[in-house]
Amino acid sequence: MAIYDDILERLFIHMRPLAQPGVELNADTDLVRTLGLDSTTLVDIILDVEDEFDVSVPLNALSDVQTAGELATLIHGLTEEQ
Amino acid sequence: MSLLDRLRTLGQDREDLLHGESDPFGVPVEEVYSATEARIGGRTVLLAGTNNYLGLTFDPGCIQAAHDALAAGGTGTTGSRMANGSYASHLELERELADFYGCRFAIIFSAGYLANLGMISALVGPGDVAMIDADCHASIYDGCRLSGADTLRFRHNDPESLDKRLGRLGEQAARTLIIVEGLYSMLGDRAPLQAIVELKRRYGCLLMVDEAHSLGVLGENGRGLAEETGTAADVDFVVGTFSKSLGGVGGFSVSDRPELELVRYSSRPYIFTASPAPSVVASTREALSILRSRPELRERLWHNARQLYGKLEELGYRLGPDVSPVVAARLDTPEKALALWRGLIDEGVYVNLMLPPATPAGQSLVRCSVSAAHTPEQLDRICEAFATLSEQAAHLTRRAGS
Repeated sequence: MAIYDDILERLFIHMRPLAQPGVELNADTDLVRTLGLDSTTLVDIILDVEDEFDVSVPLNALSDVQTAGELATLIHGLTEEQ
Repeated sequence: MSLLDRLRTLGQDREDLLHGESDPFGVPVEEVYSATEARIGGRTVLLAGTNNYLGLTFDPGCIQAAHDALAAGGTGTTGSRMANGSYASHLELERELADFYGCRFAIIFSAGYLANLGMISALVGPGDVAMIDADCHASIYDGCRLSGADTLRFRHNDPESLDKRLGRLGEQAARTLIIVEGLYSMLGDRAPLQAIVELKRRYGCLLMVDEAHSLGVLGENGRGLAEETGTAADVDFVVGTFSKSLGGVGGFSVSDRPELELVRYSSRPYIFTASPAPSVVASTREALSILRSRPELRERLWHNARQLYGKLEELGYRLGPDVSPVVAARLDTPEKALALWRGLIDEGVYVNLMLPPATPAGQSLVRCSVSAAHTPEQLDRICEAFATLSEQAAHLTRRAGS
C-alpha cells in the first residue's frame, strides 16, 4: 500500500515541470492559483498517477481538491479502500 | 476573489493571446452563400471548418422540406414533448432513424449536446461508473457530471488503459457504461472499437458510442464506426447529432434495448427542453433520406479528405494519425496556431482554431473539416493557402523545425 508521502512526492515529480521557476512545491501548494494547472492538465497528471499506484480517481471526487496535499490525501484514501 | 473575477481572468487571457486583433472564436459571418462559401470581413471566404461533411445545408430538397414544414407546422413547438406532445414528424424521424440503424428504438433530442447529457444522465447515476475515453467531447464530460456517477477516464484510444481501470472496479464493472466516440472531433482519429467491445463483453459493461462525426462518414451505409468495424450488435447505445452530416440541429440515440423508451421519463435534458422545430425535423428527415440514397456523397467526401490530408502531409504539417474528413494541423504553441489561422483567413480560407484546454494533451490545432461539396478547385485553393503559409513561415509549421 502506498503511503501519503510517497504519493505526494510522485505528484511533485509530475507537477514540477509545469511550475514556474521559483515556485516551491509543498502540500499546501494550490493547484490552480499557484501552479496554474487547468482542469485538463490536472486530470492528465492523474492518469499517470493512477497507474503508478494502481488506483482509479473519479473526476467527481476532484471537485473538493484544491491543494497538492488534498490530492495526495484523496489518492491515499482510495488506495486504502482497495 | 469577487464573483466575476473568474470571467475577468478569462477575458485577460484572451486579450493576452489576441492583442486586440479580431477574435477567431465566433467570427462574424455576414452571409452564407452555400455549403462551402460565405462572406466574412466583406469578402467571399471558402468554408473549410464547418463539419458540413455531406454539404447538405443548401440542398434544394432539404430547403424545400423545411419550407413546407414551416408553413404547415409553424416556427416552433413552444415546449417539450412531455408538455406539448409529440408531433407526427418527431415520431416519423424517430422511426426513420431506428430503421436506418436497424434498431428497434430511437429518441431525438433538441441538440447533439443535449443527446449526450440526456442519455448519460439517464443511463448512469450515483453508485454507477461512467468510463470515458480521455479525449471525449465536452458534452460527454458534462453528461457524466450531471449523472452523479463516478467518472473515470482511460487513456485516449488505449484498450490496455481501459482494461486496467475496468479490472480495478471489481463487481462495479457490471454497473459501468463505457463511452467512446466513432470519430474524434479534434484529430479525426477513430476508436479501436473491436478491442473495446471485447473488454465490454469480458467485464459485462454497457457501451455507448457517440457517432456525431462519423454518421454519414464511416461505414458502408454511413451509419458510423460501429458499422465499419462490424461491432454494431455489441454497441448498446449509439448517440449522434443532426448538426453535421445532416445539416440541421438536434441529436438522437438509437438502441435495441427497450429501456431507451424510458429515457423519455428520466432524462432532464429531454423533458425540460423545447422539442425540435418542424422545419428542422423536416430538413433532417430529408437529409437522412439523401444520406441513404446517395452514397456517392460519401465517396466524394473521402476523395476530398484523402486529397487534403495527403497534400498537407506532403507540405510537412504534423497531422492527426488517421486520414479522415477532419484534418488537423498540430502547432507547437497557441501563438503559432493563431498565426496560421490568421494567415489562412487572410488567404480566404476559414478553418477552426482549437486551443487548450478544449484540445487533447494541450495541443494547439488548426482544424479543417472537408465536405463532399468542396469542388476540386476549392480544394486546390485550400491546399495552396496552406502551401503559401508553409513557405512563408516554415519555422512555425514544418516538422523539421518542431
